[in-house]
Amino acid sequence: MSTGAPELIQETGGGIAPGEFEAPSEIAARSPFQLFWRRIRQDKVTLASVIFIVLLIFCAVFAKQIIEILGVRSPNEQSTKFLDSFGSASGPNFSTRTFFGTDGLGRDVFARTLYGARISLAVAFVSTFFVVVIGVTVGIIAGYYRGWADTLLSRLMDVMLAFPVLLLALGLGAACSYGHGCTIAKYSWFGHALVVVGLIGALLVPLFRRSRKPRDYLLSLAAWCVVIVPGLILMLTNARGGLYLSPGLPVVLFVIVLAGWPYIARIIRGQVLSMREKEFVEAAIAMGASDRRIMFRHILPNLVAPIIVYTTLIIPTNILFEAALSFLGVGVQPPTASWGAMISDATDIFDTAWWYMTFPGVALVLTVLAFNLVGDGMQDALNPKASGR
Amino acid sequence: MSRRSLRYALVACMMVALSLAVAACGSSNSSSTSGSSGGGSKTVPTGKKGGSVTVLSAGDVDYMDPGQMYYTFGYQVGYSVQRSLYFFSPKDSTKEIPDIAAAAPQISGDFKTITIKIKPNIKYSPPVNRAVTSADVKYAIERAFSANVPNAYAVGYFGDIVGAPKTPTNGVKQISGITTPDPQTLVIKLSKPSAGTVYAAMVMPITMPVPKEYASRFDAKNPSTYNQNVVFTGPYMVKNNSGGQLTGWKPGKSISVIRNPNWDASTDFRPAYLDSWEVQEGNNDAAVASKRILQGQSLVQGDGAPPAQVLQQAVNSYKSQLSFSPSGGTRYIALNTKLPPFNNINVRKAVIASFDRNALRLTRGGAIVGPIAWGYLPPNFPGFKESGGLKAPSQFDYLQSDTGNAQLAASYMKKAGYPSGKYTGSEKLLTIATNADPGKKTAEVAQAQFEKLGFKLNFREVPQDTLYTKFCGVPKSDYIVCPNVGFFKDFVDGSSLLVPTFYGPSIIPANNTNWPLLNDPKVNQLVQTAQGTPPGPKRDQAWANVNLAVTADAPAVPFVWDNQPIVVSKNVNDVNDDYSNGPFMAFLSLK
Repeated sequence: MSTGAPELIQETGGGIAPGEFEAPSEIAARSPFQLFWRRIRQDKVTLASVIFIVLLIFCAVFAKQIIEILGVRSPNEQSTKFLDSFGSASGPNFSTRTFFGTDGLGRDVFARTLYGARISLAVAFVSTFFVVVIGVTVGIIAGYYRGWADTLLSRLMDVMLAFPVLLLALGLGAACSYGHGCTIAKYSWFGHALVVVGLIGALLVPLFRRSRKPRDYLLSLAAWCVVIVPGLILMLTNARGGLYLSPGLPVVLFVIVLAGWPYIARIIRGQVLSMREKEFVEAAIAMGASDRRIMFRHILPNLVAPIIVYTTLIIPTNILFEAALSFLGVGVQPPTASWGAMISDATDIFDTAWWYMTFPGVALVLTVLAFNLVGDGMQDALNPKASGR
Repeated sequence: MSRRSLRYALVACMMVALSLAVAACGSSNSSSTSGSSGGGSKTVPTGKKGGSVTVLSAGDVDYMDPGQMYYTFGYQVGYSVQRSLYFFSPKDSTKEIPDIAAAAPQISGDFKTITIKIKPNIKYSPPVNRAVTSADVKYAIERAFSANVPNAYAVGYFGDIVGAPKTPTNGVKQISGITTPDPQTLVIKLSKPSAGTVYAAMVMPITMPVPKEYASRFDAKNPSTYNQNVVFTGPYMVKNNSGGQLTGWKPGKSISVIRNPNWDASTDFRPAYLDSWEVQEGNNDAAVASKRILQGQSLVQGDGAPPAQVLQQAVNSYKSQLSFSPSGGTRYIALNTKLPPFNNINVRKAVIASFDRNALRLTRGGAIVGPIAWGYLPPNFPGFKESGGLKAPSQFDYLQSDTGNAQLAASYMKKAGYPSGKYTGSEKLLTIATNADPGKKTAEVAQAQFEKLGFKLNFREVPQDTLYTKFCGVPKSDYIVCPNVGFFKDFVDGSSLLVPTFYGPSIIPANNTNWPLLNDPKVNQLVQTAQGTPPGPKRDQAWANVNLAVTADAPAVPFVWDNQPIVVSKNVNDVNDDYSNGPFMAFLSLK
């Protein structure tokens, strides 16, 4: 059914000759994807940003091949040939294939900038994935069930939002520097935790469903045995070893995910609170659909647009966060190249080795800008109220 | 483009500009100065009396209490506010001159008795105010053996005194081997003929006098609180209140130093030109601090050293403000000789042979900072010439190349049981490095060198003090490599460089400085022989023999005998104390 907006109508047949009357031909509406694609195509800035991101991903994935083709040294290869008698770095020089110069250890800055993209993109995508999964799940549960579940989860979000995340990152980075890293759980303790979580889950799931039948509780217990039994094994055998949060990338990912999920959870919760009152949800309830089906088959599809938009906006934030953590020394461990760590190393020598900060800095700025512009463009393209430009 | 996108672009541009601006804040405006003589340790310029300077340091002193002080920056402050029995004039940093002592000691023919006369008119600062006596020096030494005053070297250097405890005592106990026949005479009896070592060690803070009637109430506590209530004998003192509490010391922040009103210039070789000076702490960025000093006024270096790029600028543009002080020690990469794979001497030799030690030296500034080291007695030190001088003796083939010899390294690995010539083990070697430059760069170079030979490192960066207190100084932490260690003289004698670092009995559970955990009976025997040799050429040769034996054990990768670069502002006449490797505050003056 047409809403009357001109771009929603596709012409299906030829024109009508003056004076003739024909029965109206069938009008096919544009699908949401077609609308989206049309708007995106018209947004040149967003397209350019997408192309940049694709190129960046290509360079990150094929960094090794690129430097081989260009005859550039590998990113961790040190060489005193490119240092002067004081150990100072040398600048860009095409004849020696040091296009971006070298750092204080004679390593090639071009290669390190390329490889640094891997870290930035990997951290951005992986951490964003977990942030979105956790945030959306928590947000949907809080918004749908309301009541004490919403209260509990919302207070948890408030606590996490109030947390001084940078201090946490610095503290974890320092504390987890030693040996294996921070012990998250020894396997025997982990076993205890699994048993407790399994028992609580077996009880709470039927409660959520407002079930009163003992059979449901028994079935739930049987299902949760998947968690309880391994926990019992670990507990009773006093298993050695454990889960460790090792320094570097794991700490960075942990902190970013810990800090990031409440933001999206809050937004999704708000959306779900309003969506829950809509007629299609009431109809699904009236037809006997389970809560899980309603949440993930009816409500979640309507959240796809905001989720996509917020995801594209979270990615550059996480890229910057990783760079900041590496700048502060709690990110990736040497000699792995990371833009933030390179900028940090370069601050002392910027006045004598401008190239060492400039190239990774520009790469970081352009990457963040590109993702921001794509997020902005997505938001405009997915907005059903936007008129044609 | 939407308004929001424009906003993002603007923000991004601002970020770039801000980061450039922040980094450029440290950039130098080059001002070339032609060489009016700055300072150096041999020339002692005189200047005008008065004025004040600020010392820029990253950290604090370790202690004000001379019984606990054991850190070069602590010495930079300590030897201008306190006086020890003997010390060094800036004109000659190899010869002890009397400070509290009136003259050189009398040493008995059997090298078991030392008799020292104390100057009669050296007074304490307020609130004690009285003259120093020999009993004060006796008490100072005795308290250092108590558990309440943890001293890192009392047992090691003064343990031969008759009656000296072998383990820390509960409270301060009298030592029968130290007697004071009169207020101006101190007699020390030794159980072994080690007067040479003990006399050489009398430059150390343990001999700075402590008034018993004032300090005993603080020393009764464990740990002693004398650290916050120290009284001073030098030309300067830290500000205190009428009760003696140090109000001018804000740990971690600043130290305010003023003239000691009871100091008598006629008893001291220190001229004390300045009226006051202040230590400003928290200057963690060595590059920024160094640039501030070079471009500012009345600023001097504290515990940091200018990094390589600032050193280059100083050499090119601020030559008169730069000087070097021989650090009197060696920087090296310690290999744990007790744990695999470095419990195999051929593996250690392979590592040393493969290392590009010039690359390691470049991380600290290159050739200008000093020669590439091969042993553990530095240039101009007793025993250095006897060991062979600047070039490694030919029997150490693994130390002949400064840039590494891959073939020789491979041959040693094959002898060690690795037919491929590279290490093939799968475990990652726990390597603890510092997280601050230039040590951080040194560690990364070392990491790359190890990986060339097939080693995989579990590389961790930690603060320097954590490196020592939690890892490299704790044998049980099971570190395999400590790439950022160095040991510098406690006094001018081979024992101060080779005993704490390579002598088996020196290994202790905490605060350990024998980082390779070397315990070779042959080396231990040579040390004991050297310790019992009277001062003179034979003693120097004995310590050279220890040096050669340690080098033959290949416990570490030595890479530089460095000279500490020191920078001061243009209006400061710099005079260096080669003992603490920093500006000698009691000799500084303004131009």
